[in-house]
Amino acid sequence: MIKRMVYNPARNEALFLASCAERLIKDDLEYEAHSTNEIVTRIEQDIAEGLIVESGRYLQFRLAFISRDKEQIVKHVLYVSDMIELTRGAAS
Amino acid sequence: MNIDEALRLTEIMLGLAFIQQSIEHLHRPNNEKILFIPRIVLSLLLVIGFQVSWALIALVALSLVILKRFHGPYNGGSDRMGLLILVCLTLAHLAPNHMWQEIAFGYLAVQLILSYLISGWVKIVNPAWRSGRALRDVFAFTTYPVSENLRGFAEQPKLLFVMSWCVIAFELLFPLSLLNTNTLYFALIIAATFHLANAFLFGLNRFFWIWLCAYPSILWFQGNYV
Repeated sequence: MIKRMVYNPARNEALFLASCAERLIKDDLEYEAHSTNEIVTRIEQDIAEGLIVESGRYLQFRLAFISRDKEQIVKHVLYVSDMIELTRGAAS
Repeated sequence: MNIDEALRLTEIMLGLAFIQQSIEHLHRPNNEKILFIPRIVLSLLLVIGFQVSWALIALVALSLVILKRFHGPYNGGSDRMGLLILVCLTLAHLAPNHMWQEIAFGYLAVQLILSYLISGWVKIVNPAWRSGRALRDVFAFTTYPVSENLRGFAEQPKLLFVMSWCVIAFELLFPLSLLNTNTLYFALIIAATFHLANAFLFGLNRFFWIWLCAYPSILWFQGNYV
């Protein structure tokens, strides 16, 4: 916990990706390509580092948001990306 | 604390905070290193006090490039606060006379006060915060590993109701702490503890370090103008 006070890159990257996700669902074309690229780049890096086990040549991601509806917690998938060909760490 | 001491302390703290942030960007094999290695070098100049004015100007320019790279702040509020401190410090260094130097640095102190006051106002006008539900949702929805262990807090509505009102009251009453040096020190210790708890529980480490960097400005401001 002490170490994470001075070095917590995964958490801060996750916060940045949450910002990218929020930009994507705003349907703003100016941000769409940039945000998609940021998310895909990190998924590919996680695959290359073995953090995600992949089995194909393409990837597709979805953005699920949870919110409260009275006393119920509901989950909505608000964005599904196009199929994107992996550029690194891809299965042969 | 006089303004020269407060400015120097802010430079050192900001330099260290920027180094901390920049090192976090070096773990990925992508093009972020080209932006953040120079930022580390410039921040080191700030810490050791060598060519400070030029280092500040270069850091402002680099910050604009970083903003463009990420299409906005990488880390939301903490990056905005970092940029605010950096710009105020730079303007204080480039100020043509003492009066403008004090205006630039005083602006930072006022913004720090507003950062707490407006946060409190936003919460008190929000029914979810007044009922404690907002804080319950924070614990219920979090995906941060440390706070996942604390998810049980979401089932403690009375406790979270009290905690919510403590946070709201503290933030709204923060400006009153400037009436006295001792109350200001006390309020800043409480505020820093709040940021520290957020860093431990929710991984918001950058907020803790960067908000501390603005504290010398408010200590100087209170000592000279209140």
